[in-house]
Amino acid sequence: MLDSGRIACVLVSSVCLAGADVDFRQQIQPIFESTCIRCHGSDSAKGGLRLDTKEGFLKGGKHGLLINTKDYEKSELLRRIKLPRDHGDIMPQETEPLSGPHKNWLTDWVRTGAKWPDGVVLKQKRKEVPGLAQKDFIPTQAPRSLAEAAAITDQILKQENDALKDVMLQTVPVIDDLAFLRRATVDLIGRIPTMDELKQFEADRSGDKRAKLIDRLIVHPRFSERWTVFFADLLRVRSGQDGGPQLLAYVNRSVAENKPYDEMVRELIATNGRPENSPAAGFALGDAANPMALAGATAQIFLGVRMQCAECHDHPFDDWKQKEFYDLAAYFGTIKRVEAGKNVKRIYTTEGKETAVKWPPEREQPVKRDAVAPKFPFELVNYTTKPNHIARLEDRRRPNASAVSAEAAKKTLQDLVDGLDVKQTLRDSKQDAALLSEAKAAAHQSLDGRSIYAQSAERKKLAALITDPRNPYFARALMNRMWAELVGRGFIEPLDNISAYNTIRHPQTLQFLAQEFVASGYDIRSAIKTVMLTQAYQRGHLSAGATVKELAQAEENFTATRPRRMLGEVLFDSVVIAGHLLTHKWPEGANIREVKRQIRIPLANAALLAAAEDMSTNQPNMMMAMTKPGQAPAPYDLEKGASLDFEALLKPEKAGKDEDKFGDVLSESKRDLEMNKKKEDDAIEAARQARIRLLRSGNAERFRLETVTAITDDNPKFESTLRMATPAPPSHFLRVFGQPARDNLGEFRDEAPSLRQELMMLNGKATHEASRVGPFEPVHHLITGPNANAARAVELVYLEIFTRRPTVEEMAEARAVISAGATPAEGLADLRWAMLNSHEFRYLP
Amino acid sequence: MSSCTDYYATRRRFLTQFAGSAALLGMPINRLVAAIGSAHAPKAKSVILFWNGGGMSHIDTWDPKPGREVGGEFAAIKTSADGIQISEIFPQVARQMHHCTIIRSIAGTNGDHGRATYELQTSHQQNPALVHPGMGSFVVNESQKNGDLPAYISIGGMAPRAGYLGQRCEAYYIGLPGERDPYLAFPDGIHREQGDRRLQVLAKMNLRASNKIAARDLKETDVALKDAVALMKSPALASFDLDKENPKTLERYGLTEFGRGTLLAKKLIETGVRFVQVNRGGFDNHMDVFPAMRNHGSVMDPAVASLIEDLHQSGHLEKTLVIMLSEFGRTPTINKDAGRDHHARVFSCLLAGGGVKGGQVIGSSDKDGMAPATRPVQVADLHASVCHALGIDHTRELTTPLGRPMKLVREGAKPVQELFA
Repeated sequence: MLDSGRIACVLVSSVCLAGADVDFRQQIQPIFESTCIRCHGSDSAKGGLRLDTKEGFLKGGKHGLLINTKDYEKSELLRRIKLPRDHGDIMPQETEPLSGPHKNWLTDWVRTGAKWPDGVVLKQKRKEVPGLAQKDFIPTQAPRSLAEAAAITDQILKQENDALKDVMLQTVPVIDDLAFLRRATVDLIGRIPTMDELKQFEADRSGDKRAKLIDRLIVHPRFSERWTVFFADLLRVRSGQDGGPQLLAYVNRSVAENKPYDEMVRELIATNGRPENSPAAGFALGDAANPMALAGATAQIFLGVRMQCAECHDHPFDDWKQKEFYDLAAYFGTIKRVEAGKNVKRIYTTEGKETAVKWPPEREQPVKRDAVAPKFPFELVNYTTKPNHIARLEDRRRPNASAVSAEAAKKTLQDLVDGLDVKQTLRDSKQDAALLSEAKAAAHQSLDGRSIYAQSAERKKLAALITDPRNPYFARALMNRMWAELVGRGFIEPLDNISAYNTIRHPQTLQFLAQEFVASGYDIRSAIKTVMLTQAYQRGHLSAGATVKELAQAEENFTATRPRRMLGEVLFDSVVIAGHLLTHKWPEGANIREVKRQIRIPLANAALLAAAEDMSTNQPNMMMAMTKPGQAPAPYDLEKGASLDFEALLKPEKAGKDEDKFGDVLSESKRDLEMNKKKEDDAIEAARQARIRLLRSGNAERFRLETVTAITDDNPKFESTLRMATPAPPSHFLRVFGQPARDNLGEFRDEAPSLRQELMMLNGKATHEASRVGPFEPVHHLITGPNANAARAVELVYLEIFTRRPTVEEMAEARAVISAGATPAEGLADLRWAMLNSHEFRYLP
Repeated sequence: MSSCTDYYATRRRFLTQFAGSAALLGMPINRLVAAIGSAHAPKAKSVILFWNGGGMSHIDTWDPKPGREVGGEFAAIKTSADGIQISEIFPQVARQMHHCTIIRSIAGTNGDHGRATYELQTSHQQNPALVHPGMGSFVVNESQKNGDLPAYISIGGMAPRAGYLGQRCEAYYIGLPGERDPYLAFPDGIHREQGDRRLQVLAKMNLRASNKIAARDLKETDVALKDAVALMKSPALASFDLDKENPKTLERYGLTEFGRGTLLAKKLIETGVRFVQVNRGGFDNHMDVFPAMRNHGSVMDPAVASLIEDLHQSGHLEKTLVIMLSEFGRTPTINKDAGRDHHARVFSCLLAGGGVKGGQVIGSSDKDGMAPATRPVQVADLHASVCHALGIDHTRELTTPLGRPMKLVREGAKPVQELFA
């Protein structure tokens, strides 16, 4: 039955939909301009047809009208574009057939009357690299220092802003020293400053104290940890993936060693091997060594170009053709992910013989598909006079002669290496001694010292092209992201969408920063320092009362900063540091209390449970895990930080070079065979029988609850969350505060506030413990005992938590809160709790 | 507004929001008319999804093959629905069969746990470049929030990701049903009065910040804070608590994690939660499948049967779609380890409530449960059916953060019309 509300909805919707369905300018014009005009335009009107004007379109060509106004479905235009690839009449003829979405849009457009707005004349579209047309604001002289580079950045930005039309920008001055200390410390080392750091900064009376602060923090051990987060987000590092933990450790070490960014990227793109020994191989493993996925990821992550759509059809919102995507994917065409060993799995990447990338795409009709040769779809910028920043890069990197020859020797060695499909051999040999010995013999033939981890010459070429200083995307893509990380907004948004169809708001500012990044030898620390020395970074926020439009304009044009929320990791670590929770802040035994907890007592026979548990690990056995009683996760597990030992992850395995050999993998497979035999062991059979009895008993999972009282000394300390396995488990504090799952391209940190975030801050263990006043922290003697001084206590707490002194009004309020507490210490805890939960704590000044 | 995010709302959706109906947005006219002309109005308001991870044997549960060699050790028993037989491991569910529909002809395509789980939970094929939202996420994305509790709750295990729908469509996890969630109340030692005092101090500080700087996020944080405090003080929180349940009720559902989880699911649904997923593992029985299934029966049978009965009693069954899924079935052939291996070609699922017609079987497998014999049902048809039950347009197109248009449910999926009364 219909109700009247629904009918009304249908009517209203139909009005909206009829107008909204196909937009000529957005959807149809780009198809004509990129595909049709070349042959049917002012230069050559093939078949007497011109598609650049409304008149030409309506007139048709020598084969008649394009549109059948009596029956739109039967229009010639639709017939031509829908013919099979090899049909003589298909349009377009000199390029690939139209993609699915384009055919659909044209069909919808024709069906709804093929309306061509009056006066719209189309021009042939030529693909161009966006944002390079203008460069008159960029000085030709190289800056002499990073400070000068920062000043030039501000100057270009100002010139670009001055050129804006119809925009009234409100400019906010730079923030005061203490606010800068807080902002810079959070950005560089991932937590708020300590009192010591604050005192040191205040004691510095020099004019360049901000630059000196940056210099101090940039060599702080936590700098690498904080910026590992940036690169791990960028690269989508997942500890749970094959090679993920090693990749994370590799990124951390690369940042710590100040490895040039281009070098890191070359390693990530081109490395094959076992992550335990070649951690950069974890990058390809992260996409399961799938050529298509790697092509999409490489373009988007390193070049900021979203080509993904072109995997399945020509890019509907950009100029990328499906064939170009395949050309790029072909660089990864022979990569192979190999899984060897059964009990101890070894996973690595190597190169196979045949490419997996073939054209035309699988879903199309033609049976014959040809291997695609790698071809770089991005244009490098050519020059006649070498640009100054590239000359500076080359100067910086001019190697001495001996280094060159060593490099050449290494290269020859790598080129020697050949590919073997080890997985297939192993699969064939599995559990079959005859085949095993055959495989072994085969292995002996190819053993002669070669690695099983073949490297790819094509991927090395790709790595060189991606990181070529003439590549107009590479440096800009990273600088855009880094600027956004520090200043709050990007020049290009979404951050990884450099496209002719997307605005670059300050192309020259971005280009200048990118050039300086190249000239510095892709030095990450220099780039960060340059950004942080700009006025744009150091500006304050717009005052309350600003309209949404004013806010957007000021933030987009960098005349005011956006209040950024601390990253989840940084927020947690800041609570810990503000609350002195890295160490115990109570004497032993000061917090003894009774805790009541429910535990689960299994109803099954205890001996049977124990007997059933001792099983071979070969069988996934989720039920056994469920029957383990008392394994309740402790409350507050979701706030734990756990340190990974990055150094251990990067230690090559003991076995040394031999283990890289093919033969070793075979011997492992032999060990598997022996293990399989062991499965017949009596002990395992007995456990199996016990398990069967347990399962049949009907009691395997039943339990009763019992409340137990435990005595606990509640005096926790916390670890930093920056060295955790990433991403943290779902529902963990970090995830709740926006750490991405990192399995999606184009996934950024979610800064949206949520109910769960509030619950975890309001009621979390860390906030609670950070608020309580313990005797081992400095404020203790200011709030209890003979020398108590509430005013000084409040001032200290403000400095520790907000990195500033309280106003007169705040001081009065704070003292009232302290007096309202059961004791002054409890009152102070109330004050600290509110401060830690406040907007001011969470959002950067 | 929907109960999770409108973040990635499409332009079309935006345009048509003025029309005031979220369910019919973005539909081409012909389909819109078709939906309205459809025979049955949506009745379901909420969903309980039992997710059985590992691949549950269809022959040993909903599609018994008595008298065949593949039938295994369980007998087929009669049910309260004429002519329908199920495995003997579900004697209590058998007595509720007049409320249930069994689909015996799901034609799966993936025999690998990861890929199959992904398809069963999202309706889409796995794709390294994009994560599609699971059933719970897209359901809450398409429906109104109802009450103080989170709209989507997952009990006893991982729910699928919200994918491109973002953080606000992720499930709220409950690890152990009945266990106190420490984040829903002030920490131990902070009594209500002190907590309220703290909140007042906080409100003052936040107001000062909001009066100083312009930032959209601060206002949203204020809203989240308000919601959090409302939840902490909400009487609805009592539904998380199992301690006050009648011991007889607890016993009826079973003194197991699964029994408690199922009871909790019932309470949450009755309090207004939109989607509850109850997770259970241990179905990947390559070895000793019969004792394993015997145990599964002894745990699940009382819980599921009590749930259906109680929802019926309280009048909630009509509004609550109960569906039990697994990533695939298991081979008819019994292997040398007395187990069954992965089998995706055909498998079964159980549905009840939410407008689903009771006491029927849809489709059938062949005599040995090897392949669909009649009325094959595609995996994505299940998702389309869930949408249909809830009045959600399963053909709706969303836009991913990359700007890629993406169907809510995989292209070509059709609701299984016979399900609905």
